[in-house]
Amino acid sequence: MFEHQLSIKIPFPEKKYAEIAARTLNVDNELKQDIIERTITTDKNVLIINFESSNAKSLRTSTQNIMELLALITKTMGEFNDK
Amino acid sequence: MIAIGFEGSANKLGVGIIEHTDDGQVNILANIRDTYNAPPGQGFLPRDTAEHHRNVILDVTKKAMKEANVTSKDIDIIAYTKGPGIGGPLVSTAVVARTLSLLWNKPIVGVNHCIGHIEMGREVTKAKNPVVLYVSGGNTQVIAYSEKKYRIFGETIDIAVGNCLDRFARIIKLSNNPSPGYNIEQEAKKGSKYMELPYSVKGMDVSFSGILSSIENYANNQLKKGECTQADLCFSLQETVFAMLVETTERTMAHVDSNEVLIVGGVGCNLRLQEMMQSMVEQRNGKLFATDDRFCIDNGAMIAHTGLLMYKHGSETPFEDTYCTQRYRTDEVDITWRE
Repeated sequence: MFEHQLSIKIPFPEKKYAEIAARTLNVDNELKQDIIERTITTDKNVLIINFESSNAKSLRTSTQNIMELLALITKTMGEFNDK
Repeated sequence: MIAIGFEGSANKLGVGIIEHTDDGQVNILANIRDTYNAPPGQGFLPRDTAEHHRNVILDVTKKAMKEANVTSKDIDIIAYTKGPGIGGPLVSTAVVARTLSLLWNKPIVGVNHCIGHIEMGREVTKAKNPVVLYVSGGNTQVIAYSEKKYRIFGETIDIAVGNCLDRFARIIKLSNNPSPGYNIEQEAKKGSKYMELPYSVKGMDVSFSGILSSIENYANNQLKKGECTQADLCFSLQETVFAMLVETTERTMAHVDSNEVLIVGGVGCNLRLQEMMQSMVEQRNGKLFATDDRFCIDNGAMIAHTGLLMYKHGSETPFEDTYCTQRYRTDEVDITWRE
């Protein structure tokens, strides 16, 4: 079923920022879980987002969605960091 | 204790900062809002609205913190709108609240949007235990407090009154700036001919989709033929829907034996609605409470204020539960801060 796959790896300056992004994104589930599966994990300072979908369109829209939110999270961390 | 509150359930993005002092004072330190308006003849779409929120939220947050003269160290909790509302915009807003919660290591509280309106209304007007008419583009409910819950005594069985007004504004291509409802209100002042519309109160509830169809019909026929003006239609629509709201509010007042009414939500800004409600309330020797557009329209301060009330009485949202939900009934929440 999940023939369309995409893996995105994004390095952050430190592990804690990758983890904040992962935890924040993981709160919401994908809307069409029977069509698309998403897993978000970290490996040290790298955020890893994996998608598997039964159709290309869903893969495209879910990816666009997550990247828009990720851009916002990253910008938030950049502008509101205490240190 | 200081909270920052994030609101983005519809087309308004609001960030507010509220302080609750130890001696019971509530100080509104900042309340900044940025509204997304679609062009005339169109409604705001979820995708564009979510994008608007993502684009403005960080600047609005900085502006609020600057006005309140606070840094992250001064902020004790982060509150955000959990729902009800539109999915994309809600999540775009919640994501920033979550990020800040982890970045600054502060507790986070998910707030029910309707209760945000009610609590801000009670705080600003000092109404003790009013019947609440909550009317906006997304909601129409008549609410009364009883035993730890805000109980819904009456509501719309189809669309919200504000939605009816907004969609009519689209039909006659009124500007959406500052809001379609505001522009209908101004047009209505110039109208005088009452066009018969179906008056639709069903027991304790109201219905607006029939009225919308009727007025759309008038716009496509009588208005085009010049038998009435745009202003006449705006006038007729307001008089009808507002009378329905006044009736159901009065019925609830009688039911719970209250003589106080508080109007909250964007449609609550409408002075004609306030005037009609005032007439009814006066006849019952009661009192009407309403707020100005800083608070009737969606805002961040109401979320911050309600977040503080919740947090101080034991409700913190576990991080993994900080999702958003498009449907979130007013009576689902335990009102732990009231007797």
